[in-house]
Amino acid sequence: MAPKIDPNEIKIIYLRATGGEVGASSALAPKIGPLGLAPKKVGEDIAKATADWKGLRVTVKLTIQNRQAAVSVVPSASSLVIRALKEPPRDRKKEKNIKHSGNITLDEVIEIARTMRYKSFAKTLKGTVKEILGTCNSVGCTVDGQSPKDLSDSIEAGEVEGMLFSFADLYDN
Amino acid sequence: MCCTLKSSTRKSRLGRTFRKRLNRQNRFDSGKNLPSVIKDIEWIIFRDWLKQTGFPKTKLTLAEFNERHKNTKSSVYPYIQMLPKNFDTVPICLDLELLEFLPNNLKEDVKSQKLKFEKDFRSVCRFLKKQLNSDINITYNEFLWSWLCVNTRCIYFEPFKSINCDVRENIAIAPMLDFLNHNFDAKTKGEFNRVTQCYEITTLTPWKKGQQVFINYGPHDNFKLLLDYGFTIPNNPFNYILLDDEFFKFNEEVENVISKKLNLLMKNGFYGDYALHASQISFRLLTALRLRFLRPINDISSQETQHLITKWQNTISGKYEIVSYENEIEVYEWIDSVCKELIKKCDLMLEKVNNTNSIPSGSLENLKLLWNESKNILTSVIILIQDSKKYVTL
Repeated sequence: MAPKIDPNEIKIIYLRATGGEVGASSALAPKIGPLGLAPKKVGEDIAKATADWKGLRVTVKLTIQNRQAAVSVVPSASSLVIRALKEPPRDRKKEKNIKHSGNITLDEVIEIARTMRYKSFAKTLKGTVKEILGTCNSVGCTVDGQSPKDLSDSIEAGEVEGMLFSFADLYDN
Repeated sequence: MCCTLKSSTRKSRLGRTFRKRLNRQNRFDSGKNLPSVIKDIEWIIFRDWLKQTGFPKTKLTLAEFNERHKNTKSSVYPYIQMLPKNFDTVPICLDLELLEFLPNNLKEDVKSQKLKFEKDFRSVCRFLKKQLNSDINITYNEFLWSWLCVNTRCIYFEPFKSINCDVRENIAIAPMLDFLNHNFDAKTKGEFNRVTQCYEITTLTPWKKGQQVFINYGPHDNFKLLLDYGFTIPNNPFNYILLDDEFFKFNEEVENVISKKLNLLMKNGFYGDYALHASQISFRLLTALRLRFLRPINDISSQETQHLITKWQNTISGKYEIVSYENEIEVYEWIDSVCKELIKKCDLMLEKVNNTNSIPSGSLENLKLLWNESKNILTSVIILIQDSKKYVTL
């Protein structure tokens, strides 16, 4: 029997990779080799798909259907924040313990919040923005020159106006 | 059962009031006249009775048969009337002569499908005799018809989250939904919505007015499509060629060595399923061939052999890409020669198919397409091998 639209026929693998680089195939081979996929080719595909994320650690989703793989990048809050910082690309092997002490604008944070909206558990966009601010804090950057914590508090108190609130209720269900 | 077709255009663009109104309307509708899962009481009683009497798993098939006999009294009579009257193109219905024109792996699949069907048929017959002291007789052809109806039209449906998922148990018939055709391009999502009690299909790509809307049955190649649904699509990206038969033909080596090598393949999980695609050679095939051309493996305990085997295992774990240059070139040359042989076979089969007059036109098209696509894959693989060979020698 072959029922139509059977979700069990599609296999999904998540893995973390550095954007734009062909990783060591020793990480890929044990997982995808038995499925008939060439680790080298998939590694190259991953490098191609993550070209926009040069030097950043991103989560990659491999969708495997009938011995063929499709690569897509799963956006994550921290990699989006780090990308918004627009740091010059650096060699991960030479520099250790990288610090992200840049600054991004609140508009950028709201933009990130919108892409992450589908994953967020917050009821409103305001809540998602605060989640992203928390990520900014852990990354170590500032938002509009302030500490993300302070900004989060002032959003909670209703002091920040503008774009955030004109869009916030759009997502109110 | 019912199905609703939703486009994925964002409703949010139309304003808040519109969305609220829509939500309210939907809630109103679902309560009132949206036909959710049809709860036919007669059918529920019938199903419970079947469960108690220990009916085999082919329950859906019997349901169709039953409904067909009830004729105009049946609540699904109009639907039964819409079903195709015959399934000429499905390989299980083909004559034994025509089966010879199919590729080997498909032939085997057809055989196992036939066995499955006959098992179902026997169990149903036994059941009818035992329980009904039957005055109802079911003929082979009638049962085949209803069995194929179910096989070609069922969708995946999980009544509740179960741990031991047997796909054959999680199937359902959805009238209307099964009239939609398959295309590999179509990006759709199909799911049973528990809140609305509807099976919802959402298309992720836009369709223009007047176009035929396709859904995606799953990532199937032409072999599987022909086997289960009786059609093929040109340029199907999931097409492949199986080289298992060719691989397991050993001629020059000693039997002792062969069994050792096969054991190693078994142990590492690389036994069988050696496929060729238009754009890639299966990693399973490459790995298996690398082992095949490792030599000499005579004494498994000798240090040299062990060293070779670890080298081969390193290619599985991804530490190294190849065992040695000579080995790699031998691997590619083997595939190359097999491909050339198979192309000749394809040409031969195409000629035979063209010269045979007894093939019905529907199957003729399918057969031609199958062999032509196989030929295309083989020629593109040969080009692929030339590139890889250059890469190895560099």
